[in-house]
Order: sequence, then structure tokens, then C-alpha cells
Amino acid sequence: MKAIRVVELTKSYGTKRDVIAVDNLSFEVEEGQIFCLLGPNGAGKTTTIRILNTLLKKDSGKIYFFDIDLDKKPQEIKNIIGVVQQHTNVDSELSVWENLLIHAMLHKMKKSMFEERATQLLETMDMLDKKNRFANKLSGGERRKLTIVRALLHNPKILFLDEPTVGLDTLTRRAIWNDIKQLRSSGKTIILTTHYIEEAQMLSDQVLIINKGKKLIEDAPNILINKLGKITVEYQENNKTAYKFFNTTREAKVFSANLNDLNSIFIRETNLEDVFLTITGNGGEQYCNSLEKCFP
Amino acid sequence: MQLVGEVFPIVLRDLIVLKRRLIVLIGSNLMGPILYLTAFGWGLGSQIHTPEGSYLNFVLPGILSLTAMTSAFNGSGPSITISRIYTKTFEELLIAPIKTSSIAIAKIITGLIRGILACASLILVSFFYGANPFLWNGMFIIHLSFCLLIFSSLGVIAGLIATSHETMNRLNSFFITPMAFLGGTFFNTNLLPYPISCIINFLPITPCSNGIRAAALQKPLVIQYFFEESLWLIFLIFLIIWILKNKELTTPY
Repeated sequence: MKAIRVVELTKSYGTKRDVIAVDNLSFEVEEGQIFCLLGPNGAGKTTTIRILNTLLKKDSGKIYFFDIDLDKKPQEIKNIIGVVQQHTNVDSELSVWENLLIHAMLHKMKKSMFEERATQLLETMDMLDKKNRFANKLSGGERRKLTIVRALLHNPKILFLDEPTVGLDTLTRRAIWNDIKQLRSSGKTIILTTHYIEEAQMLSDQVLIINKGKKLIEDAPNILINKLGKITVEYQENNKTAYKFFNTTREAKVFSANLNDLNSIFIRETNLEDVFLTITGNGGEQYCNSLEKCFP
Repeated sequence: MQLVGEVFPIVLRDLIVLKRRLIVLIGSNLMGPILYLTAFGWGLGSQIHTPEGSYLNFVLPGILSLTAMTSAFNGSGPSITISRIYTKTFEELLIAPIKTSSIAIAKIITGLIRGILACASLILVSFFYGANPFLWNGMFIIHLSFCLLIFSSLGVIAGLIATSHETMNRLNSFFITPMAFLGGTFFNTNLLPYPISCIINFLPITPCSNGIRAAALQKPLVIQYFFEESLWLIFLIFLIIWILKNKELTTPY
């Protein structure tokens, strides 16, 4: 079943509506998937997410959550979504427990259910001993974990994670990756945006790359990598790093043998970052900047 | 019942914070009024006599309406701006399965509570200045409630439309401060030249301070004040509804 269906979504800013943030964007998310929105800065990822979680108004288009029209039943949809914002918007003037209590009350949870679930989630995130601590006394990672606990408290079917690991150290980031994987195992649908392409490759079932509000390509990460070529040759050309993609290591080695500066050659597996840079044209002139050129 | 369930958590949050800051908040709310009472009530007031008796008895209802105005406005407005623009905690309310009108009602109630707290403290303090315990009558409470509701609503509007904390300060400088001095707080507005008194009588603070003063000094009931206060309150509620429907309540990022 489709957890989310977005049809021709458009959003613009400015008094003359001349800054188009999201341009006729359509996509679908299967239930139980981790769906990743990728794009360079200003691509429209956060705007799209913020429209989906009802924080921003759209100009046009339709959005359905499990076939429920967002325009018609926003309250019903707000009950089945959880949101972790890009910024850690916990209430600094409240304790961890109070933050969760207010969230539970806003979501009309019963007290016994709240206490059981909050305890369980805090324990999972290794934060139960900090439940009486004020949110402004928590570390960056702990605050981020609190936003995740809060978003999960009312047991939403769909979880929006907007750059969930931004600004976190490697250890905390890896811990959060594990939590996200566990959430997928529990059947949650997760919409993820991230600047860390490694994160997207590791976690996502499906990736949508957008730029300037428009859809560029959408597929599973391994399919995108295979389309580009499983093997990458990195080499120096005119004092710049150039990249060439091949389907087999043999083809890559044959190509490398003909290069002049053998010391600068690096043969490796292609990753999602190569796909991203190729697709968005951010890799310099060596890169193709259209789907047709990349994936003929 | 559903409305209560939606409004209560937001008010509870504000009450928890209010409880933690109670002493500081009362102190800061009283600082201005105490200075006014000292300067205009004791200092200047000892030299002035009004048809109502001592100037202190005349000015106290004005200072009370001024306190109600600033504490209700500042009790609702700035916290909304900060939570919308800086801490982004307002987004937690917007994505909750509650109506945006419930958020507005909750914030108006918060402003109302803060205003009641400030006014009650001021009434207590005013006894030390030798004011008559004249205030507790029904008309007085109704006018004071109107005043608190009007300015708490105005604070909600300011909080929802302000694009930064500076905008909020500007609204304070251009609207609240002039009203504090001109809206019948320290003098009878009818003493001003005709066109100016017309403008000043149109301000929302003027019927409030005139009404509170009339009730406090046990003057005959003036329906016009109730009418003007009601009109202001209805207008502001419609404005809030319009803003909630038409305005983006959060920043793009």
C-alpha cells in the first residue's frame, strides 16, 4: 500500500511568487520503506517535507497519506505522522519528561499509555536516567535523541526525519542509524532527508534526487549505482580529479592502463555520492548533467 | 470538551514555565507601575487635585489598565514570536492534531493569566501607596477582563505576524508605548484638542482605562465603553482567525 502519494506538488515563495521551491513534484512512498529525499542546498527537500507535515501551505497539487487527502483531513493525518525537524526544537524550559508529557497531551494519549511508552522509548535511546534533566542541559546528541523519542511517542505510522544526524559526532550518528533501522523493522514508513549521502545509501530503500524543486531521478540506491557503473576510476586530468564509470573491474583496468599518470589512479566501487554528483551536475565539467547523458 | 483538551496542554506548558519564573516575572511586571505610582501618584500627585479627589485615586485605574495592557500583550506575543522564529517549538504545536484556533485561544489565556497576576500584584502594592480599596466591583472586573483579553489577543496577532524579535520590539515602540501614555492612563482624554482626542478615543486602551476608572470611582455605567471594548475584541478575534487561515505560521526552513 502507498503510505504517501504526492501529485504535482508546487510551492513558491516571495510576494510575486517568483521563487519556485517545489516545481510540479510527484512521487510515491511504499508503506514500510525508508524513502530518502536527496538534493543540493536549496533543492526543495525541506520545503517538501514541511508541506507534507502540514507546516507549510502548498500552492497546488495533492497529497495523500494512506489514500486520505491531506487537504480534507489534516487532523487525522497529523495523528499518524511523527516529525523530527532539521533543528532540534525541544522546549529548553521543560525537562525531558515534561517535553514528552506535553507532546502526549497534545496527541490525546492516555496517561498510562504515555508513561509506559515514554519509559520504553527513553530506555531504548539510553536516556531514561536523564528524564528529569532540563532539555537545555542535554548535549546535542541527547537533544536530537529526545526529538526522535518525542516524534515516536504517539506511535506514528509515518516518521519524517529531516537531517536527523546533522551536527552529531560519528558515534551518535551511528547509534541513530541503528535506531532508524530498528524503526524500519518495526514497520514504520520513514521519510528521510540528509546531506550525508553515505547515510542515504546505507539506510534507504528508495532515493529521490531533486534539484531546484524538480524531480531528477528516483530508484533504489543499488539500481542507481548499477546504472551509472559499479566501478569508478578516479584519475588526474588537467590538474583536476576526473571520474569514469564502468560495469566491470576489467573494463576499469583496461581504461586505467592507457592513462599517463599511473600514480594518481584509484579504482573503487561506485557509491551513491557519485550518482548524486553526476545527476546534480555538481562535480564539475567532467560530469554529465542530464539523465539522458548519465543513463543513456 | 475537545477544545479544552486541545487548549489545556499548551496552557499547562506555559503555567509550568510561569511557575518557575514567578518571582522574576512579578518583579519585572511591577517595576514600571511602581515607578509610575511613586512619580505620578506620590510625587507629582500630591500637588494635584482632581474632581475625583486625589490624583493617586485618579491615576491608579490608569496605571492598572496600562499594566493589564503591557502584561497581557507581553504575556502572549513575544513567547509566540520566539517559539515561531528562534526556538521553533511552535512547530510542535502546528504538527499536533489540534486546531490552530486552539493554539490561539491557549496563548490568549496565557496572556490573560499573566495579566491577572500582574494586576493583582499591583492592586496589593497600591494599598501601600494609600489607595482606596475601591476596586473590587463587578464593572471593574468586567472592564479589566476586556482589557486583558483585548491586549492578549493583540499580543497573539503581533506574535503571529512578527518576522523577528526586532519587529516585535517595533510593535511595542509604535503601538504599546504611545497607548501607555496617551490612552487615558494619566489624564482625561477629553482635555486634549478635538481631533487628537478623537484619535486617542479610538485606541483600544482608551475605553478600557476610562471604563476601569469609571468603575473604580463608582461613576454611573457608561455603555459606550463596553460597546467599544466588545467591538475591539470581536475585530481582533476575526483578525486572528484570518491570520490563522491565510498566513504561513512558520518559517520556510
